[in-house]
Amino acid sequence: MALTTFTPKPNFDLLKVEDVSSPGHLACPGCGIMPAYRTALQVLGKNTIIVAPACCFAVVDGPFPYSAAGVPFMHCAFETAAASAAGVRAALEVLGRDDTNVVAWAGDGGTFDIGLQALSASAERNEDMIYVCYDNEAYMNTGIQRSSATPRMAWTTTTPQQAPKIEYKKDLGGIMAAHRIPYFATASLAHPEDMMAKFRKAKELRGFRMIHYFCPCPTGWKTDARYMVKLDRLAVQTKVFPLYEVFGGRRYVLNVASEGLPVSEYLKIQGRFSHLQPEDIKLIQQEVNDNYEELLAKVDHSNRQRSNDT
Amino acid sequence: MKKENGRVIFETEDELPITAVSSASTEFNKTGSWKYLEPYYENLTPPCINKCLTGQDIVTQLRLTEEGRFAEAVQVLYQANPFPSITGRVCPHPCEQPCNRKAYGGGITIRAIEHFLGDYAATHHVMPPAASPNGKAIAVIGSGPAGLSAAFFLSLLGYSITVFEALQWIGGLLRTGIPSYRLPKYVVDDEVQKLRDLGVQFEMNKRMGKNLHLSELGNFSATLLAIGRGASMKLGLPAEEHDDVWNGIDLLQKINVGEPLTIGPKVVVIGGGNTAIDCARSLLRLGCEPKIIYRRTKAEMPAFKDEVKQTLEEEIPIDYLIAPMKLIEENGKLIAIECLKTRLGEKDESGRQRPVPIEGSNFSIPCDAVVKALGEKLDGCGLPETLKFDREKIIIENGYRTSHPGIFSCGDCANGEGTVGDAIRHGREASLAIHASLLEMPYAPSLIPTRQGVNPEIAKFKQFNLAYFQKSAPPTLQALQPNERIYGFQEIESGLARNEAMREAARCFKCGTCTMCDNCRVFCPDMAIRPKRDRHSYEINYDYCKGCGVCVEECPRGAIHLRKVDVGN
Repeated sequence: MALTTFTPKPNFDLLKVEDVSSPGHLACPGCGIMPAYRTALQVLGKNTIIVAPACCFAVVDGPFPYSAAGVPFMHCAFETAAASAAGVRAALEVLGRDDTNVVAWAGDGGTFDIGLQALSASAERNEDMIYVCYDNEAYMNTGIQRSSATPRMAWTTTTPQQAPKIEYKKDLGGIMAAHRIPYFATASLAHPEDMMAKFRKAKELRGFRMIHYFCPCPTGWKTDARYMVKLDRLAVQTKVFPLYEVFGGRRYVLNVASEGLPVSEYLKIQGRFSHLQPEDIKLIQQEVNDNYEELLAKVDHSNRQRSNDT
Repeated sequence: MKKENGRVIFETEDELPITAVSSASTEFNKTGSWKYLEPYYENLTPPCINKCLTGQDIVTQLRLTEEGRFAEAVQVLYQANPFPSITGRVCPHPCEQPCNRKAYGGGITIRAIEHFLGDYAATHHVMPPAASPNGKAIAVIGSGPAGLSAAFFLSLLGYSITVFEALQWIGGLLRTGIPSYRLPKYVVDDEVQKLRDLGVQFEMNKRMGKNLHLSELGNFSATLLAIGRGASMKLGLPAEEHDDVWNGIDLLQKINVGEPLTIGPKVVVIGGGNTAIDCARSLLRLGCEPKIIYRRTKAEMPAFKDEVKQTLEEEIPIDYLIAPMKLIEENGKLIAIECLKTRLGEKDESGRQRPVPIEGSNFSIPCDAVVKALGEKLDGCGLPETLKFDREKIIIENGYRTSHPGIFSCGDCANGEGTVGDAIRHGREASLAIHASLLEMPYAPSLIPTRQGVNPEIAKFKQFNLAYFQKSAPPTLQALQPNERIYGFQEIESGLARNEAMREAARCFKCGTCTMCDNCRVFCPDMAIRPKRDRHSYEINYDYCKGCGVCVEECPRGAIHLRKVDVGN
């Protein structure tokens, strides 16, 4: 017997996307792999074959006879993601099917270290595939051992606080650009619309396309599971992981201008950096600034190049 | 091979495939058992709604305004407040005080948006959903904000309403008390017209006890007394009945209805409330030289802060810590007022410090007239003897019932606190109380649809994820400059334009309220969140939720929370 209540009608149509992947997968709480995989598959669709080497994702997908992927998922040896995907593509060609997306989905170990030879070879041959590297900056599922993607001074079980990692993180973007592949892009979970756009671009192009996804790992980074998206957002805002694209290995485009927050904002919520002294943070800030300057110079250079062309 | 609840069971070795090939999804694996924390949706009360005098759902109004759905926003307003074009102008808007946006670029100007929506409703004739008549009639005595509000809500409940007004103008203090520079008269006309369109009848020049008696109201199922406070407080000085000594509300009535008036030019206005301010500013516009004297200091003034600020902008002097002592006459004409200086003493029952006169500090202020704006009280004459009332107000019990059966009372004459917003809320509550009583049901305040008090927890700034909001400032409101406005009664502030109102509404955090922004669904690593069928909220599939808390962290406005799960030992 209350007064006539008025309920406004919703006027929006929530994204009518069907999830290809299914829940029940074995990722740790707060893992960044599945949100990115789910986003990618929303764009790529069911006509996709996934090839994954030994990595977290191979475990996350589920034990035999179960799979969370929702599409054919081929497990391969650690060093062979790119080569296996090239083989799948060749087989599809034999069958006369060229509309299937072949996606290699590998971790940083299988990309920066162990799989680098196969990756380089496939990129050089411009094999028709999308290669996604989800970079969680260490060998996580074997027990958090350092990889060549681990940032300087980060704690891992093989670089304990007493003997921190002193080497730089490998510049994957630089390596891939040097192969002059058609498309290379970095992606962040904090910018899902940007990530979707990049997978859409990758889907429409042909040849060797690569997406370098910065994958938060609360377990290995020693942080709260709820910071999954926050970590990725801070990585972009502090210039640690800028979002950019490289077309044909030469033309650089910056997608999100970093706000230039101090890098300590990103470091301080992660246990793997808890041992850092102020002077260490200064060094990291310097490295991050230098990398970003270098990237901006490349973007500037390609902008000038383009205006010269027209 | 067989499947049970999503599990695959190979019964013999022959059934195993030659190579490991998956034959089912991981959905059998209820990862929800991993969690020791779980998220849940709960809308908190936004601080503005908590403070709103009328109990409006401000956040829903702003969500609709943001999308340009103004008519729907007005309908939400009508659930609590029938007269947004009036409150958008004269309400002191305590809702803006605790706005969480203040710490992030500047608070939302809820007032300006309400002003815009009210004007939109008037120009587009937005009417509330009509009710079918229930055949009963109710009399409302008094056409001030409380009476008009009750008339509105009672007619929405299907009653046929007759409003009796003692004067020849409808609107009570809205018309005779509030000056046009704050509330133009056409605004009141529009709102009265809205009530007439709803079928409300008005009878003017009917004063309780004079030409209107209880016995004449026998045909009505119930009577609501909303007569306000019509009697002025007295100074208690000799010669108070002098022709040059005015009652504040009588003076305002003369000015507001345009009766001829001889006063001044030098006028001393005594008091620190809104009536004093309104009198002084109206007199300034008529060419007088008003001066306000108040026995306490600026901090204790009961007038709205914005009004005091505008008064000072118009260079009207306000002298504090002065108490009037004696009116000085010469040849039957007032020439001065003798005053004493005061100091603040101990606190009285209102919590303010009591002014104590300082002996021997006498001085006099030359003046041609004095306006007493000391506050108003109930005008008890004309009320039936069966009705209990004291010096201040009519005594009502729970459910707005007076001691006289069938008579209800609300507004300033009963439990009002002197603002239009309060009167409107009391009008609405009283209308529901009458409705409940006629249905012989108990009255409970929870019958009123409002978000106030639904959740006692108020949304706080620290619960929001600021990554999803830009720091931005409120719009500058167009207003007349002091030197432009003191020569006439033109309205000082003009409202927001359509696009400005939409932009300002979009700036609102929508504190603690799920707006279906979809962040939680997009970021959930376990695909455990999906919109409910009605698209007004989400549901969580606890079978798979691992309790990571990403949705809680990424909710921009604090509508998702974590709680512990009982996992036993």
